[in-house]
Amino acid sequence: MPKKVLTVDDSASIRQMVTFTLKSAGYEVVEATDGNGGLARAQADTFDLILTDQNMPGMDGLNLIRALRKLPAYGSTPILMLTTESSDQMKSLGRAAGATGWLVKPFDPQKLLDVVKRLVG
Amino acid sequence: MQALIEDAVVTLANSFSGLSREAAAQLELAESLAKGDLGMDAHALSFTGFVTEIAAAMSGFVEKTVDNSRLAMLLVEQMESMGKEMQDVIRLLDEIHSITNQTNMLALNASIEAARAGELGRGFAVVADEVRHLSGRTSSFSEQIRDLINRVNGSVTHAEGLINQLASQDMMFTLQAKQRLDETSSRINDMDALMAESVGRLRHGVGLLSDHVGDAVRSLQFQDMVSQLIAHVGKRLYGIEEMMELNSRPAQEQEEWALTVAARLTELRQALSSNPVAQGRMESGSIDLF
Repeated sequence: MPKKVLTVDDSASIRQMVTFTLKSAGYEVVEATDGNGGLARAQADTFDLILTDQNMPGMDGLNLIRALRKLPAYGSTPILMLTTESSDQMKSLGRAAGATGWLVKPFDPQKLLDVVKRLVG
Repeated sequence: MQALIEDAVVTLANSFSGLSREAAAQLELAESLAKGDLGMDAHALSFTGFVTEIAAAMSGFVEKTVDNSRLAMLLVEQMESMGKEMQDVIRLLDEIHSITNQTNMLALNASIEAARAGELGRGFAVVADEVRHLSGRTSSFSEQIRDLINRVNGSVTHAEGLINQLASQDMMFTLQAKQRLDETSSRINDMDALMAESVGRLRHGVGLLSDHVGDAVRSLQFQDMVSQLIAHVGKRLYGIEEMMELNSRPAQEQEEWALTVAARLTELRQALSSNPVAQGRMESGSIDLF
């Protein structure tokens, strides 16, 4: 069974590039276009890892992580922030919200794969 | 405009991912071709394996043919030996012929002596005639045996020639076939080496292509970053427009709005102070695992 990853981003090109990168390494990838959509997807299914952007219309990435951490199914699931935000203040907020890691865009496909492999195999 | 750029970037990313998938598929196909297991099950032989099997079978065949030739040569030697022994028999037959001639002469002399003895030698003359008769029959048998042996000798010599011809033909044909097969096998090995080298170069090329696609994937993320910057600039412009509108109110309202303007300005400064995109280059962003 391939590991299942949820990618949440309002940018179609970022979603596409994350999907291409992970699918080519054998992961199953599901996309959502904003925080609310991501939360609904996460509740409807079970994922081994979640990648989310910060700045999205509606629910942002930090609030999505907070909402996910309240769900028993995602108490310890790796959740990575993939965003253009790179300030220490934002990273601290992410850590406090329950993020597993903080990846600043642009991402390098191989480095993203290395991180995902390290977290879920 | 953002939608236009996003559409173009999605199309470009699609093209790059398609390119990468096609390259990987081509590499897989080339590797399958090089291994020779294209569409075959696990028990099927590759072409190289087939030629190796044939070469092994041919080597076994050559060994057997060499053995057969050696046996044929031994047979020829045996036949030569048989021919010599038959010559000995013919010499013995010559001896028998000489003895029968002498016996015939003796019988003739005995007949003459019997005739001289007259009536007393009549019985002896009959015995002498019988001896001459036996001598003649012996001589006749001896000639028949000589004829037979000469014919057998001719047949043996002929068979010896045929065996010699057969042995040399077998060897020549087999050795030529073996040489041709060795040459073919060598050419196939050269082709295999060339194919392995080509697949290696293709693998290297696909690796480079994968790196380039990775660079393209990283660089194409400019759209998301530019999009966020445009949105941020838009918000700032909207703030400036709002301030200008507040400042353009009549003088009597300005005092009334002064506090509102100051408060709104503080709000806007706080909201727009941090740039959502701090990166100035398209190098890979940092990674922090908590």
